[in-house]
Amino acid sequence: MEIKKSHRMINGILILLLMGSLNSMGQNSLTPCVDFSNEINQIKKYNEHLEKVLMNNLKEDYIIRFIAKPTYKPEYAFQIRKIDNSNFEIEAVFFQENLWNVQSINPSVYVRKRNINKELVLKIDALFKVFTNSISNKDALVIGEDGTSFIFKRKTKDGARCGETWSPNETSPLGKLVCICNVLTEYAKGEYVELEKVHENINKLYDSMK
Amino acid sequence: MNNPLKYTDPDGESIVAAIIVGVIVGAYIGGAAAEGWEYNPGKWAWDGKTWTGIGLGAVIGGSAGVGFYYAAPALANTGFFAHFGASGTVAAYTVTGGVAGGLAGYGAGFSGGMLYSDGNWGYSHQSGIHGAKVGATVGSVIGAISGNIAAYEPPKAPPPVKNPEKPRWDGPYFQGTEQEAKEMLLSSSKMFNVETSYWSTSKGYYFEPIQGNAYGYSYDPISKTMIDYNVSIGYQSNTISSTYRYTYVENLGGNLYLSPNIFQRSLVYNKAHTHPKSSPPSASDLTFSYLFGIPGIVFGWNGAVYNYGGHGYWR
Repeated sequence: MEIKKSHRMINGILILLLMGSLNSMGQNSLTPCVDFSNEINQIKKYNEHLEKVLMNNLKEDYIIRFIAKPTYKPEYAFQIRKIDNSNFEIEAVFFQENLWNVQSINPSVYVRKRNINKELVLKIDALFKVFTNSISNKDALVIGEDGTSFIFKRKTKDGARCGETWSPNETSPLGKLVCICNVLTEYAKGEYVELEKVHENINKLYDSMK
Repeated sequence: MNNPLKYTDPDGESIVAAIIVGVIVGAYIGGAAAEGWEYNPGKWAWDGKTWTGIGLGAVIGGSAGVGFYYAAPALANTGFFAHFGASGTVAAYTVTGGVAGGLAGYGAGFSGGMLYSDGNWGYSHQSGIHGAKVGATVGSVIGAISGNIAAYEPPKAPPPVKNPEKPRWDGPYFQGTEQEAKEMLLSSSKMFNVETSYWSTSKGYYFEPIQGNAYGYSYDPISKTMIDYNVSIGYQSNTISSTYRYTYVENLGGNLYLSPNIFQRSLVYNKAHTHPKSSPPSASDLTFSYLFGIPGIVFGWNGAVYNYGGHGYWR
């Protein structure tokens, strides 16, 4: 009887572990940013519009850039750029309404800027590098419909590498990356953020991805 | 059965008919009595007495017709006669017709007798009694005929044949109308506070679960053509702003088929899903529709409907 009970318990644990791993399937690595502008007119208009707003409010010399495109809530983005050898700046753009749904010609946005520690910048850049370097050029994975698309860009010598993901589970590596980026967005906004905790989370995620 | 409205005469045709019949019968009895009960009008003198008898009989008969018109249905509607239904109605009309005819016949016969006998009361009374017999007989017959007409109820149409109801579900496929499927989809979306979706197929409407082992899809980022329609992405749950696909699909000969299991494969016509915020199709909705080659429909919670994709939609 006791043996049967322990077998059942082990089976249950194995199923839970399997479920946990399945939960994160397809959400370990970024997929390439694919532009459907040539195929879908609405996407072309939206991308052009979004790019224009970002260009008007963010400088082009970024190191890394993060863009969140929710289905219903307003879009937001942040980027980190170098001011000089020792000073870096994080600047974020917040839309007041969802650009896709409203399609306003002059969407209302506000921008927030804040200095950011060089050590943290190097760590975030390293994390972006790990994720953007692992993008498969052979296939693009789409998870579901609606949700939120997250875009990650990192400047390299050859241009910029771009990867994206769709509403990742919080426990998946991409979910953790999105969580770190959302915290940094809050930091750019001027909110109080425990930077030690951010360092710690970046280290953990970086180590798990190496 | 005991319904006074049953005997109403909204267009007034029946009372006119009753008066006309009463006038004709009364005129005949009055005329015959004025001629010494000669029944054959061809042998009547057709002098002043004849016409006076006819006139008085007509007035009395017409009055009796009016009386019959009101009294017959009232009697038929009393408890005793009403208890016997149609037969009771015929009996009440016959009795009333007999009584009205008898009274009118007496009046017409008496007045005709007075004319014929030059005011002899005894003769006139006997003439009235004879007229009453004739009037009662004719009145009873006419009453019986009227009673049958009044009691007549057109045969009721047989109840419509009820066809056996079409089964609402054929396995996992809903067999109702598009409107019903839409209402069910919106209702479940609001109940569980998540986005919900269905596939419109050759076998009916297939409603996707709202959680389970889900499938994503992969495509070539350069050619933008599908590589794998069914990339397992583990256990997922729909949310208020996202939808997953939990059902296996396959492309056969350029057509998309839904395969909940190998025995229930169906050709996909379109895929619909709800938008709680009632916004238009998102970029991922359009991408899905484009890559899968099927039209899509978005149903907003506020009743908004967006159709997109399909042949001729993409530029």
